[in-house]
Amino acid sequence: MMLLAIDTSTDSAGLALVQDGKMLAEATWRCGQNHSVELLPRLTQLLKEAGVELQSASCILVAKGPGSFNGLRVGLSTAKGLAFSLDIPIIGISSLELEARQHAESDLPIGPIFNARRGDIATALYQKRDNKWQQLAAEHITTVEALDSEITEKTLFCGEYVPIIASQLKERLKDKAVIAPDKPRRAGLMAELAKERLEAEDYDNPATLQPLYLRRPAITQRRHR
Amino acid sequence: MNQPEIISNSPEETQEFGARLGELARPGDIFLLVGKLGAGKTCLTQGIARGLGIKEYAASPSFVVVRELYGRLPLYHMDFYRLDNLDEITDLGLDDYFYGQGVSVVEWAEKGLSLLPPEHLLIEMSYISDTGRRLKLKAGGKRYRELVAKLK
Repeated sequence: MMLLAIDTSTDSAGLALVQDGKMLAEATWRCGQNHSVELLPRLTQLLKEAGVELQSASCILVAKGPGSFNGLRVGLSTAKGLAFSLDIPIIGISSLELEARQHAESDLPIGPIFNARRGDIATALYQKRDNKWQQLAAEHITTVEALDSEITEKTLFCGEYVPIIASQLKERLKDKAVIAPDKPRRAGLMAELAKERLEAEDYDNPATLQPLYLRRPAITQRRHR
Repeated sequence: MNQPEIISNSPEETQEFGARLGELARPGDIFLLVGKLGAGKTCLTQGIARGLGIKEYAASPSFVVVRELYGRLPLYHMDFYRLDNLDEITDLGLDDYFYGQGVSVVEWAEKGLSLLPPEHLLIEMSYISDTGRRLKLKAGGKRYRELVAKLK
């Protein structure tokens, strides 16, 4: 069973082909806002490198957000189009969970952070406890200031936005904030995250699978900083 | 000081002012243009495009909402004229532009001011005569106060 994983959540994009738990090929690249132009040529290249046909794919995994509004639309519509034409199922994976997963072996709770703009961040909390990967806090929008009261124990923060706000995190959360080494998110890890759902054949309905947009209701007064 | 005014006596002068704005623009800059039909918003944008080294003609994006043009920096030329409610504007995901690497110019920005980033340069354009226009500059944030100071 070959999985095709697609991640267009942020400026960093990723693709992976995973067969029976083994990585065939993976690509992570700095895509900027150019997802719509670069995604499919990269996929063609990756299939060629791996020496496999797209038709061998048996399920599509797609990072569903939070993240870049347009990036997610490109990823989800590509994933849905491929799933429809190949007649294979689709599973949407939280982009924050994918970001956190690369640090799964940490002893600390893991707080992936994306830039939600206008001074906001998107975050969640994960940790491997009793050898089981768990979500401790669901994806939500908050601020670095508010994070101080949300985070009660020492936490490992990761994500491409974290180096930019590292000093703010340290200043606000003091010793509670541990900054993870800056590693790019890897699409291939979606295969691990989807394992249970694949075994249970718990797929998403391609007609109703939506990007996870966390923006607050539109008509709110913005805080002026 | 807080609200400087520029008087333009002709479309050429409006474009000239736009060109200076384009030359001083940095990645992530946001210019919001407000004014009635014919106030010169597209004319001003054409000047900004020229200042950014864009050769292509900056046509009004009223019917496509956003046009991307490429010069020294990308220009994201937007027009909210055709949009009727705020939900339509949020549904476009324009933040990817506003917080991107280019310069965003929004015509008819008054239709969505509450959704636009608070840090921006607002330019209010109004008639004085057939060819004369008044441009009021309102700087939101330090970057734009500095920019306005440089424009004088």
